[in-house]
Amino acid sequence: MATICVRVQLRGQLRRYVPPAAGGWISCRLPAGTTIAGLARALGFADDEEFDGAVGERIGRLDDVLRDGDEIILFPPLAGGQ
Amino acid sequence: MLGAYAGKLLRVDLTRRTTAVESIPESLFRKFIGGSGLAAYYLNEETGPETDPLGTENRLIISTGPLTGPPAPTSSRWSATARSPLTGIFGEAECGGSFGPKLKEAGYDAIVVAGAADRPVYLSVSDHAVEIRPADYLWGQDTYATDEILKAEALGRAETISIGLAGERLVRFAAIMNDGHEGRAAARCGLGAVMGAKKLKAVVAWGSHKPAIARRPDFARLSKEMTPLVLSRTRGLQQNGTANGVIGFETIGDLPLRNWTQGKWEEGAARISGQRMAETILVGRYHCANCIIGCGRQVTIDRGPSAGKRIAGPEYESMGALGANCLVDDLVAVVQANDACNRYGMDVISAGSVVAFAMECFERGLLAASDTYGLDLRFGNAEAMVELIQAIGERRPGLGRLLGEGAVRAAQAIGGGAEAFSIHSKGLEFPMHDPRAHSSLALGYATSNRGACHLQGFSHVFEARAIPDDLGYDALLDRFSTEGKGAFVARAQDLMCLYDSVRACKFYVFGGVRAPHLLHWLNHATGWEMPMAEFMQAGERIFNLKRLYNVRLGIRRKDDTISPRVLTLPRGEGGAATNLPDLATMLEEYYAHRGWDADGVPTPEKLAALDLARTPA
Repeated sequence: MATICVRVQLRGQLRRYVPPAAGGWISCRLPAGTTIAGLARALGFADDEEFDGAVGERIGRLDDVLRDGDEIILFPPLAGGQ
Repeated sequence: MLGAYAGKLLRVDLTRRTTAVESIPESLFRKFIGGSGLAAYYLNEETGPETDPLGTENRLIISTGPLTGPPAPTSSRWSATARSPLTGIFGEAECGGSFGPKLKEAGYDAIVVAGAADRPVYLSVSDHAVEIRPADYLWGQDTYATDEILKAEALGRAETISIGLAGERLVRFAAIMNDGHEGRAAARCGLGAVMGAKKLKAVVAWGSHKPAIARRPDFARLSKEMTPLVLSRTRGLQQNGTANGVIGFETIGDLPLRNWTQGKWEEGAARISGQRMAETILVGRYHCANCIIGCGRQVTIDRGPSAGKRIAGPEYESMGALGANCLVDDLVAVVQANDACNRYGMDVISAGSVVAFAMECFERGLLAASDTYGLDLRFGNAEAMVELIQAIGERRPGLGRLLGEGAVRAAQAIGGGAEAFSIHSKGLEFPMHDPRAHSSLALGYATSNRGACHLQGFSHVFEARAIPDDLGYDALLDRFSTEGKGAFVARAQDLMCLYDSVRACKFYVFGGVRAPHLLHWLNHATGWEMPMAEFMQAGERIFNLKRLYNVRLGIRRKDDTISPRVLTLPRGEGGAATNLPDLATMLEEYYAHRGWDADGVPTPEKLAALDLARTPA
């Protein structure tokens, strides 16, 4: 199966899901076609956890497909919820 | 009554100590909807270039909309409008809280206050009587005590709006406060100083009129349909308030830091986030009247004049202005300063902004300790920030008094290039969202009718959170791009005029509410069959009316700009490290879309299409 390698940072209370790595970045190898939501599931996020994500400087949607080399920051929602 | 409108305007002349009731024709509601639009109409008709914002001829207009009071999910909102003593142009402030529905229950859509009393007074408005009552005993009281005293005198039936010391002493960004220690504020543009200049300490309202909703079952059905959607999509606001966004906005490079000169502050932002508030000092939530979201916070801290009491917790703007932009990461200090702003009655955004401005002046040597009451005003000094906020609220002689004039006047007085550190548009200090993170905000701030404002366009939300499908877009807009932003910002501003005029909370946007829902609510409330095209045109008309008012005051293209710092200095690091918005290009497209001439004046053809006259009748 094709895979991608991405780096992810968690902010705020989302850090409880994964212990902070060096420099705050966690490397993940995921199946190709994984979305931001899929990444969160892979990290063990609860089903009802609310969050937003940025891929590089682009604010992403949860159904955005990730690409090899992406750097993603997941953080508490900007406002409201999902 | 016209459905959910009361159909009545209360006129108050404080010089003559008279009151009178006027009918509001249905045609006016149809054209300007209510709330902000209705107030803009009266302000434009009754004031102009010769009106001193702190003089007797200025009008203070308190207005509700058709959705203030009826059982829609956020139907609490009201507006305050006047010529602003801070900016000298169109001034308005919006508020939730509890006062709006009470004014409707008293039987009025709006109050227009002219003149000035010779001694402090308050206005008592009920469906039985309107009285101008002595308020010497209230003058000098903070807004918490004022609210408590007046509510007790009205036997718990009433809600109040009031000013504190800041309004009495004419701080140019004094606010009109509602709901006592819950700290709801009609904050921007210094309308609390307009009340203070009129010696009007408070307005009290109560009554028994209920909105006569024309198509009640349809109205209720829509409210019932939208309620679960709004609830499910605003959980972050419910759980952590608007400060829920502090961490996220820092992440994407939107949170202003160190007077708009720094790009990243991850740990500091976490320390003053809504999440941290919930973990440490949160003791409850506050709902505005009829609101199902409940984004308000209640906290208890262990120091300051409100130690041990349940008081309003800071909003996102408070965390930004009193915290991040001053590099203060002491949550309790931010709460103290927020509490002081609420007690004195001051706009947190402007107050925090002038403190950040003063901090930069101090660090650059333009202010010395002898100018700052001995305070070490370096960025990050939480105690100094709190002390300076109090000095501003009291109008303490020296720096407190000077900063209470606003960042523009303070910079002019300090000199030495300080104008470069006063971050504003048209004299209104920036809210806590960075145009370098959302290019549309550069245009929005430059063209907002009250000065720099993120709510009058709400464009950043459509670049980050909510697809503006009711404006014809099918995806989030690219926050850094320039293309098409002129038309986009104009459409967003027109839509927000409708929100401010029907009087619905903009957090509806997060909840999936769109323009058709607002129109359905309006039509069900009034019995109208207003088509969508007419509704959207009303929004455009209202925006252009406010622009016309400003044009009469001399506003032109040269004024449609923002402080150079955010156009020329990249944040340098963080989530928006390199972007600089191209305001010139966006403004060109904006004017063309709006049908304005090259100097930013609505053309005769545009005015004719909107059924607006160039000058008042």
